[in-house]
Amino acid sequence: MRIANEDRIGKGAGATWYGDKGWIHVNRGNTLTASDPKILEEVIADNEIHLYKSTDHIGNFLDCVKSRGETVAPVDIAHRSISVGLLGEIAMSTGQKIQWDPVKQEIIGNPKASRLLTRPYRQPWNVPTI
Amino acid sequence: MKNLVKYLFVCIGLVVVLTACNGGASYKALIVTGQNNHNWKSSSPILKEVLLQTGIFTAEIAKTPEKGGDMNTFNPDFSKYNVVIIDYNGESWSEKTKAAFVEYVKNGGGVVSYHAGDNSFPEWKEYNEMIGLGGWGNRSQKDGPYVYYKGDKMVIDTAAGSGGAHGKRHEFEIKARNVEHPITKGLPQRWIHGTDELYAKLRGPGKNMEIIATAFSDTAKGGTGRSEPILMVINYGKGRIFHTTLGHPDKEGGPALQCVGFITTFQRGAEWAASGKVTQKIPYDFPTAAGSSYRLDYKELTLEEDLNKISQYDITKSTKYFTDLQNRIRKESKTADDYAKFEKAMVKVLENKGASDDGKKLLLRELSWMGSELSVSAIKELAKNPNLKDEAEFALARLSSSK
Repeated sequence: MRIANEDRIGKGAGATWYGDKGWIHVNRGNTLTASDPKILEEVIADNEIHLYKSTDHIGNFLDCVKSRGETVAPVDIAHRSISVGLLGEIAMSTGQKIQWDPVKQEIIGNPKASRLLTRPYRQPWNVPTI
Repeated sequence: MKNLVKYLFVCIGLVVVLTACNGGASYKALIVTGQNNHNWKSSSPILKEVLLQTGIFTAEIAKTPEKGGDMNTFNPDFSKYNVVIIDYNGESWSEKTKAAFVEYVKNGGGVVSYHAGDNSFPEWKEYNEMIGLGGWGNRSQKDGPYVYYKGDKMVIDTAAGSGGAHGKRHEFEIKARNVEHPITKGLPQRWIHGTDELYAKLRGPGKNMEIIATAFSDTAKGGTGRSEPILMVINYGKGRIFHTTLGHPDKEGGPALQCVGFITTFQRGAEWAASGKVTQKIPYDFPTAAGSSYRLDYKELTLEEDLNKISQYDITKSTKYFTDLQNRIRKESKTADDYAKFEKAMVKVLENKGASDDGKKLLLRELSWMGSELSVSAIKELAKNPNLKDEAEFALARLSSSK
């Protein structure tokens, strides 16, 4: 995986998937582009992999409140996604290469960098441990 | 025997002291100026100061007469110097002075052509061979081809047309084309240069010339849409010439000269022109591909000077000096001792009653992650100040979160 800002990648912000024959790019405006526009016209057959479908981000959340089902963007994925960005920021703030233990969710062997993983809360506020 | 050992130690001590006093100033630089379509009265003293900062140069400024004056009176003894800096764009020198300059370079003298130095002397053949490429002054196809980059290839373009152009001043990315040259070795491959003119459409003989850095001249900024030469090195006889198109001076100097990329490449280029090698370290504040870097005072501040500025900070001012401190800490801290060196200096500001609360807030934020028990008592003291209570308690909580 590579993180780059908008000025550094021609396609602009979003996510790009690279395969052996081309790429597909999507941005927040739900605009799909591909190395070959024909890729976008391909129909995914019934016996192929189908991903979770949601046409409305907020509607999907409300639906899931009712159905107790999992949302299209579940909290675990959000947490792991933003972790990458935050760890990048800690590496920049400290000027150090940091190593992350994703299971324990700890920075390995760097107490100074570890201090940046959270903020002290002013009493009586705190982050409850679940 | 004991006395002899003592005597030897004294001798060694003396040698060390003498070397230190000399400051290693081993090269003599002459800045030639006095006529220019640019603000030479602001640029020349800055160039001098920037050379002196290296500790390896002494520098003098030689002025030609003003326009219309008697050029025969301008005849410096170039041979006394290791490098001549051309901050000049004006009337022709006397034949005698021109001949002396050519002789100086042929015999191994160094030259730095700075910014409009490459606008100068369109009619002087030898000078144009020294600078490789030039612009303006009615330069055209008669003076040589355009030279620029297309992708990874250098293009020698004999098309007809005038030489020299630039669009609107802006920050732009410089790309090193040879990262192994002594001047560029150790610099990032790409960095953002401070607001400056991006010279384009330079043309000239280009003999014995290597382009070591280019910049893309964007048509959106009034440029050519080509990657234009920015830093060049040229051999002429036994002499070495460093050609920098950068550093457009405003009345007060300004951002192009405050740019650390300009300052560093100028210092390194001058040393290379003087000696063929570069011994200077890359400064901690050299710009990166992510952003430009300026020295508001045209010099690298000592840690103490930087902290003095921070101790006068209030929220209406730029946080530039604090950013400098952060960069220093990031780049110069490897061991606990390195951090402790910064921490002790920062604690002194926390303890200084004359330092501003806003400055102390910035330091508390930084100490909260990189500090240690060394700062705890000073921070506890600040927690008694209602203005600083929140920031101080935040720092104490974070410092105790992971020892």
